[in-house]
Amino acid sequence: MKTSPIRILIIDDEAQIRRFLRIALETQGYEVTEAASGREGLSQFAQHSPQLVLLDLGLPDLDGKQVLQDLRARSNVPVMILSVREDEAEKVAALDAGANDYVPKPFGAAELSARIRAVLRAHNGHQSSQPVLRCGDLTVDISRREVTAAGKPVKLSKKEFEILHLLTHNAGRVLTHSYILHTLWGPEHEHDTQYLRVYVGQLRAKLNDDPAKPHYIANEPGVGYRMLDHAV
Amino acid sequence: MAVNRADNIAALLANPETARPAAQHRAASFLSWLWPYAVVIGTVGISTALSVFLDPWLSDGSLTLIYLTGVLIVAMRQGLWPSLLCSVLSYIAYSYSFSLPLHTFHIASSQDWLDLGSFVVAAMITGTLASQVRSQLSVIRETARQNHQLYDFTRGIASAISREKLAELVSLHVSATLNCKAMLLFAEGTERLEMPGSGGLTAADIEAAQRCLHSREMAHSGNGWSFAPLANPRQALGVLGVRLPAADTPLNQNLTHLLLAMRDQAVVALERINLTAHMEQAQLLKETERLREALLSSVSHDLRTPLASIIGAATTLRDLGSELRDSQRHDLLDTVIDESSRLNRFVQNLLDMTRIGYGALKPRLAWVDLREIVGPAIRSLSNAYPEHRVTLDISEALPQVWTDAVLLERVFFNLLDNAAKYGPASQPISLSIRADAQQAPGQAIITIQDHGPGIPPNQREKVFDMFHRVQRGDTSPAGTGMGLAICRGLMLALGGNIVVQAGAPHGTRMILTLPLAAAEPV
Repeated sequence: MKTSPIRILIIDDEAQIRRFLRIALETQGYEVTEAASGREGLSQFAQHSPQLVLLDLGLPDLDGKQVLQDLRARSNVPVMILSVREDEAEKVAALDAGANDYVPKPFGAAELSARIRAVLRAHNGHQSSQPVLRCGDLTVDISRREVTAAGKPVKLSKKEFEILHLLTHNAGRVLTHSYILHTLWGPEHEHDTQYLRVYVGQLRAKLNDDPAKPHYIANEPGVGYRMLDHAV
Repeated sequence: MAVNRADNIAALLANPETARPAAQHRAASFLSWLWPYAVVIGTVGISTALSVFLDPWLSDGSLTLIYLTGVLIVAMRQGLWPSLLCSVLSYIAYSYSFSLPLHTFHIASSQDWLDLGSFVVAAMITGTLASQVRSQLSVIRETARQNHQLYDFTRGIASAISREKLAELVSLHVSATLNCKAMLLFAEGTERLEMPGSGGLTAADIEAAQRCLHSREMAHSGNGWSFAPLANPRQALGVLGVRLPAADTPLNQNLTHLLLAMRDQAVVALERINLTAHMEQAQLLKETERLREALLSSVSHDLRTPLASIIGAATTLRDLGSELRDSQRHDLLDTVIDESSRLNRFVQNLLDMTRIGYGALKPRLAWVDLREIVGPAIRSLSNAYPEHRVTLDISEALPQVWTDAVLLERVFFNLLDNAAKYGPASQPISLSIRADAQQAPGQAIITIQDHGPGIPPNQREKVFDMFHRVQRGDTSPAGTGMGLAICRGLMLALGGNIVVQAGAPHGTRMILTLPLAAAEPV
């Protein structure tokens, strides 16, 4: 069965970046449209309804976060931020505003492709609720609340299971501290990062995951956590 | 700062006493001492004249009432002793002129004794009462005057916005109010006083001022200066010094209270000024911090953006090399090369900017033919923008110029690069060089005109501002916008300048002035 190629919209004011992205993405079978400004990006989005948007935050006419908000107001299309802004607060703000991932510039072509695939898969997985999530050698059985890591069953508390479920469900994607806290503990605990750190620590211990060389849960300092995506 | 203010000390040492010479002062005080007695004699004279005039119609006893009225008036106006004198003189005059025997001072009858006694008693009673009333009145007047002055003082120093201005106002007001020399000295840190020159203070005075600052109590020096401390609960702020005209009279209690009242107002004003200064400093610090942040993020954007293209293109070549078409591979290599040279230009700009910023830019001057500079600049331009054309119009009479060829070429290239970046390739960029001895003697005028969108009038000066670029952050293409700031920096270093005008009929016209012989850098 021949599927139509996935359309990606690039919104970036740097012509050279658009040029190499177009070549790299087209070679990998994506269909690419480009926009050099925020307004052009929004109109291209309306015209082509792409399945993924690569968005630069520093645009000449609108701020990237504004574009992100406008996109989010219309659709839940996955949006990946590509930016030279390296400030953690910027990353958190963009992710909390609904971005699916944040790739700091400069980045390599392979890394970008992996992140694009992860975001697309997480997004599609989101829509079809699978009873069993798989991520490398980790399986999370949602209905039976069972977890196995490298073939061995792992016994988790309720909260630990919820965290693992949330991260695995969004494998490959950074979830901010406040997003996780908000989802699992409620809005009044949004800033209790310490809570989360303790639970993730226990979870890692039970999964036998070394925080220095994580196999499952990677830390994004100052931003949040990401389930490493091992599926190819 | 303490040294600079030495000049102001004359202004701070307001001294109204010197305006009036001492001899005049003495004469005035003698007159005021003499005045009551003149009034007494005048009153007795007038009473006698009235009595003589009315004598035909009145009895002798009634005439004493005229004299008694005079005594009462003197008692009310001039106090006890003049009124007593007036009563005695009145009696003598009455006795001499009207009581029998005429033209003698003999006290003949008991009636005469009664007259004299009534004069004296009336004088004593009214005189005492009147002098009490007068002294109360003068106290009330003085209090009102001081309140008024204190009000003026408070209102006056409320407008002070700097310590210097406050010192000036406080000195002026205190010296006017207490009729003395006055001086406000500020504490430097918590231990020492700022000394704006000696200000006419002797070592003993300064020592007393320091003692006052440390003890936070009034201190007096041997030769007439008194110092009151200015302090808040946490620290000593300074001292307020006064020196009365008569060096040996100490301040009386009333004046001390007034001085301390003004001192308290000065403390309030000083606290307010200090607080404002602190807030301004904090604000400035915040602003500097913000600007530094903006500069850092702007530089990081300008460096990272070309790097992102280079790394992206290079990794694409490596990872997907076998699947790429030849044309794509070529495109990616172009990206690497273009972006590397952009990065190189940016690093050059950064270096120039830093050199200009630190004043470390030293032009290397030589005789230069401007035509020879235009050539390389145009060649570099056609490498970057092969489609753009430049038309030249260089005056035949252009002499050689004593300037720095390398810096000037950089200016030309930056301006041509801008003209090409923003203007359409269909219309040529025009570059003209004129050296008109009449219109601009000693200068070459270089004009570069493009057909781009132009620069709005309110932006025409801002585009030369380094921070204008910085504040736009990453919203404009990497490495742009700094060029004009650098061009101006370079032109200023060469003794010239650069301004922007609206182009004709549209676009932008850059006008450069360049001295035919730049001054040697020192």
